[in-house]
Amino acid sequence: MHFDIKSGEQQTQLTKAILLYETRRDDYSSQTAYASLHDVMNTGTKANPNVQIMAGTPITQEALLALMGSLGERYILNTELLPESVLSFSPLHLVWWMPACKKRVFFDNKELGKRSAIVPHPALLFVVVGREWLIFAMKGNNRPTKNTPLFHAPYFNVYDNGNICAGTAEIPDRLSTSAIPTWENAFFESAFTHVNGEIRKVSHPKGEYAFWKEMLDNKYEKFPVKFLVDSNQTLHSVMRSLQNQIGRQ
Amino acid sequence: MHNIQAELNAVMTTFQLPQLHPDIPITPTISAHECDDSSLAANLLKARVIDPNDIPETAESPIDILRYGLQAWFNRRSEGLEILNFEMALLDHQSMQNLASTFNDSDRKFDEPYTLVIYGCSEDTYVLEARSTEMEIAFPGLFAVALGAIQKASSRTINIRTPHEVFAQFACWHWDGDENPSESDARELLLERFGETDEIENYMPKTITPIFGGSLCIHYFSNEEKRKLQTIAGLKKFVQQFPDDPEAKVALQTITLLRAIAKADKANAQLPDMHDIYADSIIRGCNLVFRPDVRVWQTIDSVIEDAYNAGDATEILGLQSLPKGVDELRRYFSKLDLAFTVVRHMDKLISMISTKYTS
Repeated sequence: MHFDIKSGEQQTQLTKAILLYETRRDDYSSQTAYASLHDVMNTGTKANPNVQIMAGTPITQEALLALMGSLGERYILNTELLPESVLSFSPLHLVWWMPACKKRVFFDNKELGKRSAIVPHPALLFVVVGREWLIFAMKGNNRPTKNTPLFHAPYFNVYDNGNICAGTAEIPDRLSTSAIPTWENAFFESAFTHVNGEIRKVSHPKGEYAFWKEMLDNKYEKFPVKFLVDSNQTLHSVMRSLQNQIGRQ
Repeated sequence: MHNIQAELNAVMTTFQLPQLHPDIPITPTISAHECDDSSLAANLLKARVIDPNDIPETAESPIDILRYGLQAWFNRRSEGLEILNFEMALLDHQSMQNLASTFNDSDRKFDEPYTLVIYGCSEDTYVLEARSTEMEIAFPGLFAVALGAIQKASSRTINIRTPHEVFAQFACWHWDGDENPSESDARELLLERFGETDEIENYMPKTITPIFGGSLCIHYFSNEEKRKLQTIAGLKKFVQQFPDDPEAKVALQTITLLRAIAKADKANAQLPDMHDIYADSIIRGCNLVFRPDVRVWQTIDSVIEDAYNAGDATEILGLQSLPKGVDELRRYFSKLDLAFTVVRHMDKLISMISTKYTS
């Protein structure tokens, strides 16, 4: 049996220095007027070190961003314009809604076989946070507000808590509002293969497979929202758990 | 402002800034102030947990003493394990904080300097059906009692995946959590789920129950005959009645395991567990399945996938803060020793009642 000792120790190296230059306002106070960024290097040898602050450069916006980038998240500055569909966005999460529409879906399982059709969908809410990707359905077709009730998304490959089983779907590797179409395509262009979890995601009397057979046979012009199953969540409750989750990261 | 900038830009191209003051650290090590490797190493030596003979002359630091000394301690107690796969690690305070931050909603605080952690690694699968048939023919009930003892041992030491655990998950997903539904109730639930399709027959109790071991692995406490066997006296009687039978060796090993469990229980000894940690150990000491079947693999895969999707998946099987004082350390490792005795006997019994699955 292997035994290991894991230490949280981190070996660090002094590599840069920031020098601040101040102007004197009066006898009691001063004001930073200039800052410069310098490399720190050993200009001597290993045996006889001569560590010096080297010639520097004025601190520019680029230099500050580079410094912050090495200390924190890559996406501190975001200059994207937010589309109407985005409900909430930070470097760590993205929440948006998709109005009711018709889109092609693909199925590949024993019960329904390999089938594809353009079918109506209810308005949907997508949440991406960390490695999690969730989906909910809504009965109305307006931009949701905090009290909008959320329903289980009526699809296969979706867990009881709304988590999407991504399988082999190609999903964007970073959070960005411009990637929303890629997320949506990744969901609808992947084949639905199996039901997930304990909760039935539609209340159709003959079950989920029978419901999707009717959908694929184009029985409904609009998505039959009467079959949606209440998730007992609202946009507000989802955002609150999102806040808790991000707070832990 | 622009004048100052211009002046300084000019200065910086012609002057070298001075050498750093020697007190400024150039390569500092950031470490948790809570940890004192020398005290822990010294206390483990005083408690006779670490044997000085196990420390080679090349050891240079307290960490080296801990590494060599504890590796030797664990090696002695895990020697000969054939079935169970796991690793042990000692995490310092910072390393434990990094690990704890990956757990969701944990109620456990890890304020002590050191934590002992068990990691799961590359679990193998073992099949029970063939040996269970032989054992049940020889001594009805022996297999169920042996499996019961293994489950008891596992809950105190190294977590393994059992047929009943996987079956319970299957029942949860397909039969509304009812582990013993009537055929008609199950059919109704499956109809709601799958609609009218032949696929339902593959998930009916009469098909599923034998795959997961039926009365041997799932309902083993319900049989009166088997309950009688659960005492050591009952098993000893069996061994005395049929001393030459190869199954008697299984019965003897079961007795040995039950005795080791009783001794560990009396001392309140067990290996570090996942108590209050809301995370799913996805790699266990091993998988025990009754019959290799696609529905068993499907259920196990879904459980693991669920854990990943919920962000609860972990390779950790247990963790426990290490005490500090000499006496506390002596008592702690003496309890670990008892728990490892249970592990060794459990490992041996599993090897006697199962065969390794190869796809």
